[in-house]
Amino acid sequence: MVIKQPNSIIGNQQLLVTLGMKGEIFGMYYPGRDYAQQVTEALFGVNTNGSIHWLNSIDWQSKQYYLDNSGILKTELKHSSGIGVSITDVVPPDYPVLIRHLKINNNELEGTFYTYFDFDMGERKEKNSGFYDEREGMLSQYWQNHHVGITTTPAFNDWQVGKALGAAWWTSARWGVEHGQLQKNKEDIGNVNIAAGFPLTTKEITQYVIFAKNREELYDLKEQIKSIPFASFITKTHEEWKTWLARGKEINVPSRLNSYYYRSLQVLHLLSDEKLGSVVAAPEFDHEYEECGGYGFCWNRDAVEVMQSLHNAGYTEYLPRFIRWCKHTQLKDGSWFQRYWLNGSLAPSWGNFDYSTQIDETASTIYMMAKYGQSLLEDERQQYLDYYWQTIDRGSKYLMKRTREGLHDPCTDLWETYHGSFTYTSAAIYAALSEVAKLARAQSKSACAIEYEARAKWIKQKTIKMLWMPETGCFAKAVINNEIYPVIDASVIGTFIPFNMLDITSSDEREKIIQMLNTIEKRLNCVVNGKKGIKRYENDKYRGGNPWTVTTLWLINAQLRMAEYYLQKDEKMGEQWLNNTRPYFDMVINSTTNTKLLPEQINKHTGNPAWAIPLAWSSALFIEAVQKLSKLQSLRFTETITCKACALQRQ
Amino acid sequence: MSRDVCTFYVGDNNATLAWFKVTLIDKQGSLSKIPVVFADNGVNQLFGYFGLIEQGVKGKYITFVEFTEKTSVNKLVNELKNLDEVLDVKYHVTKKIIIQTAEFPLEMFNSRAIISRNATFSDIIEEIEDAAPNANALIFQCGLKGGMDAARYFKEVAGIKKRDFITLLKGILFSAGWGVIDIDFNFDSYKGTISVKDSFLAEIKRSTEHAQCGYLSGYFAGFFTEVLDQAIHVQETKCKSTGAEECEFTILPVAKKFGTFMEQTREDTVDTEL
Repeated sequence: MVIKQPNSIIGNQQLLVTLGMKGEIFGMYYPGRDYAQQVTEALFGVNTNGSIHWLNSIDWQSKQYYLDNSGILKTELKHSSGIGVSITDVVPPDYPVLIRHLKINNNELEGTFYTYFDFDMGERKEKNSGFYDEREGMLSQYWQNHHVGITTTPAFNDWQVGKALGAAWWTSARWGVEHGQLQKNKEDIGNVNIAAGFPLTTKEITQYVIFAKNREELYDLKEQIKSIPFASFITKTHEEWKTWLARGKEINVPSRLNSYYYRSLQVLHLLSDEKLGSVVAAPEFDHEYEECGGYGFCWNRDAVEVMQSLHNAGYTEYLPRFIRWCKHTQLKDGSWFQRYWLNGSLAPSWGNFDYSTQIDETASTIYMMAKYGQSLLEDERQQYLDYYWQTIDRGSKYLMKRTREGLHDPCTDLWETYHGSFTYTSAAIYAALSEVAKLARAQSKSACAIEYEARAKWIKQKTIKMLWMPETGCFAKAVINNEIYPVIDASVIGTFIPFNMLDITSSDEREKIIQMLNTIEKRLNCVVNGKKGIKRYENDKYRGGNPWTVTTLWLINAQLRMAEYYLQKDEKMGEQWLNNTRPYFDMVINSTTNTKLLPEQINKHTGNPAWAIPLAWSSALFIEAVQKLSKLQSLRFTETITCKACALQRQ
Repeated sequence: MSRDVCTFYVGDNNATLAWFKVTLIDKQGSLSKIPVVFADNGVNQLFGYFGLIEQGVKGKYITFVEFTEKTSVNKLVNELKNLDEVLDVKYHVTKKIIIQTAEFPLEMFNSRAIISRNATFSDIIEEIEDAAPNANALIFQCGLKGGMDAARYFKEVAGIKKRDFITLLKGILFSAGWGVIDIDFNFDSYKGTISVKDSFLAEIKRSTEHAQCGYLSGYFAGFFTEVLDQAIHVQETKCKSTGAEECEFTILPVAKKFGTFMEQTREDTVDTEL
C-alpha cells in the first residue's frame, strides 16, 4: 500500500479524518483513533471531453488552510482549464460525520463531477457489502458493525456500486468515473467501491459521510444530520473549538509562534481518546508496517509528554484519565508494555521479553504518576494514593529489580533500535525513583522513601561514572556488551530535561549540562535553508538520518531552562541562552505542513516535514517550549518593571 | 526454438572483445561489404544486426566480435571508414566480458523498454499471487492497463485503423516473445477466440493448478476495449500450464447496459448455447 503523509487532520471524539493537500482523504478512523481505518481512497473527479481529472492530480493547484483556529478545513483547487473547486471540510461535534461542502466554479465545461470512495470497512477489503438505497438517496457500505453512508444535497443523479478489483472489471466504480459512465448497479459484495455523479453545471454540493455501528443507527443519524442546515454545523464547530482553546492558559510569546501552539493543542485533543484516556503517537499511515513499525498506538513514553503538556497548558482532565488508563494497563510484573491499542490491549510489538522491553517507558509512567501525586492537595493526595499507590509501588519495585547493578539491565532504547544500558533510560529511572521517594516521604512511608532515594542516587553516580566522557564533554549513549558506546545521542539531554538527574544549581553539574548541550549542538547539528535542527544520534540511518522535531525541541527546552536559570543571576548570559533557541525555533515552525502540523522528522535536504504527521510527541514538546518561553517573557517583563521601579526609587 | 538476446558474452581469460556500431548509407549492397572487412582482419563476429535509421538515407550495423592480439583495431576502423558506404564508426574494446551497451536505452511504443528474463516476470507474478489480496484481479488489472496503453499508442500515435489491429496485435506479441498468437474475431458481434501457442506465462510451472495467463487475459481485454471503444471481457478457457496443448481465450462483449457479473454471465451462457 502506498504510504501517504497527511497535510491536515480534522475530527471529533468519534471520527478522525486525515487529508492530503488537495482535499483527498487519506484516512477515516472510526470509532477509535487507532481502529478502524475505514478508507483506501476517497477522491473527487471531473470528467469532461472524455477525460478524467482527479482533483488530487498534478494538474490542480491547491491551497489548504484552517479557518482561524476553528478546526474547519478549507481547500481551494484550480485547474488549468479554468474550473475551480472549493471544499469546506468539517467534522461537527457530537456526530460521526464528515461534511464536505463543495463550491464548483465552472462557466463553460460540460461533463460530470464525481465523488468516489474505496472503503475497506473494518479494515477489510474482502467480505464488504455495498448498496444504493434509491428511496433514501444514500449509498452505503458495511462489514459487521462498521457502517458508512454517503448522501448529498442536492441528490446525485448517477451512481455505481461496483467491485474495486474483480473479474468483472467494468463494474468498478472507478472505471466508470474514468470513462464518464456510471452503471447504476445497486448492490455488490466483496471488495466494493462506490461513486456518485452530478452534472458539471452543479454549483454547490454538500456531501455527508456518516459512520455508524449498525444500519438503524446509520439511518437515524442521516435523518438527524440532514435536518440541520450546513451553516449551523459550521457555527457549532467554530464555537466548540473556540471554547475549548479559551479554556487553556494564556501565553505571551512572539506572534509567529501562536498559531503553531494552538494547532498543536488541537492535534493533541484530536489524537487523544477522551473516554479511554490514551493517545495515539500519530494517525497510522503505514498499516502494513512496510517502512516502519507503525505509529497508530499508544506508547507510554509519548503519552506522558502529551498529558503533561496538556495539563500544563490548562487542560487538567487529560492527565488523571491517562493515569487511570495506566493503572489498568500495568503488567503483572509492574512494568508497562512497549505500546498498546487505545483500549489497553497489547499492540503488535518487538518488545515482548525482559531484554527487549523499554524500561524508560515504565520509568516515565511512574515519574509522571509520582509528580502528579505530589501536586495534589493533602486530601486529594490521600485519595489518589489510596487508589494508585499499589500501581506506583509495583512499578517502582520493577525498576528496583532491573537496576540491581546500578545501571539498568540491558533492554531496548527509546529509539527502539539498540540493546544495552542507556543514559536516557537511567535518567528516567533516576527521576521515577526520586519522585516516588518524595511522595512516599510526604505520606510517612519512610522505609520506601529511603530505599528508593538511595537507589536513585546510586543510579546517578553510576551513570556519571560509567557514561560521562570528560574528553568529549558529553554522556555516551550507552553501555553495550559491557563496553561504553561513545556515540553522541540527543536523548542524553534527558539527564537534564525532563528528568533533572543533573542539577542546574550545582556548579559542577551545571558545567556538565553546558558541555553536553554544546557537544550535541556541535555533533548533531543539521543546517537546512539556514535553519538549525538536531539529529537523533550520530550515524542515524532511519529514513536517511534526518533532523527530528523532537530532538530539536529537546535542545530548545534545555536552552530555555538554562535561560530561565541565568536570567535570575546573569541577565546577559540568560539573554544569550534565549537567543540560541531562535534558529531552532525557526527550523521547527518552518518544517511543518502548510496547515502547521508538526512532523516527527524534517527532510535534511529540503526542510519539509518528512515522516509521521502530525506527531503527538513533537506537538507536546512544542507546547512545552512555548509555555517555557511564555514564562520567560513574563519573567523578563517583571524584571524590567522591577528594575524601572528600583531606578525610580533611586531617583 | 528459442532465440538468444545477446546481452552479454563471456570469453576465455585472454579474449579481446568489442562492439562496433557502423553507420552506413541505406542502399542495396552496402551492408555486404562490412563483414568482409572484419573477416580480412581476422575478427570473429559473434552476433550482428542491421537497423534502419532513415529509409533510403542511412542505417546502422551493430556487431559484437572477438579477436586476437594480432588484430589492429585502428587498422580495422580505418578500413571500415574508408568504405564509400560507411558514414561513421563507433566501437568499444574490452577484455573477457562484453555487455551490450551499443543500444541504450531501448524503446518500445514510445516508452522506455527493458529486456527481462521470463523467469523474472514469473517471479513477480508468483510473489503477487502469494502476498496480495485479490491477486488474480490485480494481475488482470495490470494487464488491462498495459493493453489499453499499448492500444492507445497505436490508435492515437501510429493511426492504426480498427480492422488492422488484429494483425498488428499478433505481430507485436510474437516479436516481443510473448507467444504465437492467432485471433478469430467477429467485428459485428464483438465475440471471438484467441489462441496462444507457447505463452510466456504458461511456460514456467508455478505452484498453481489454475490457468496462469491472467495478465494476458487482462492485456487482451484492455487492448480490445481501447480499440473498439467498448468494454470487452476476455477469459482464459484453456491453459498450457494445466495440460492443454495451447492457451485459449474467449472474447465477449459487455452489454452496453452494464449489469452485474452474474447477469452478464447468464446472458452470455444463453447466447452461447443458442
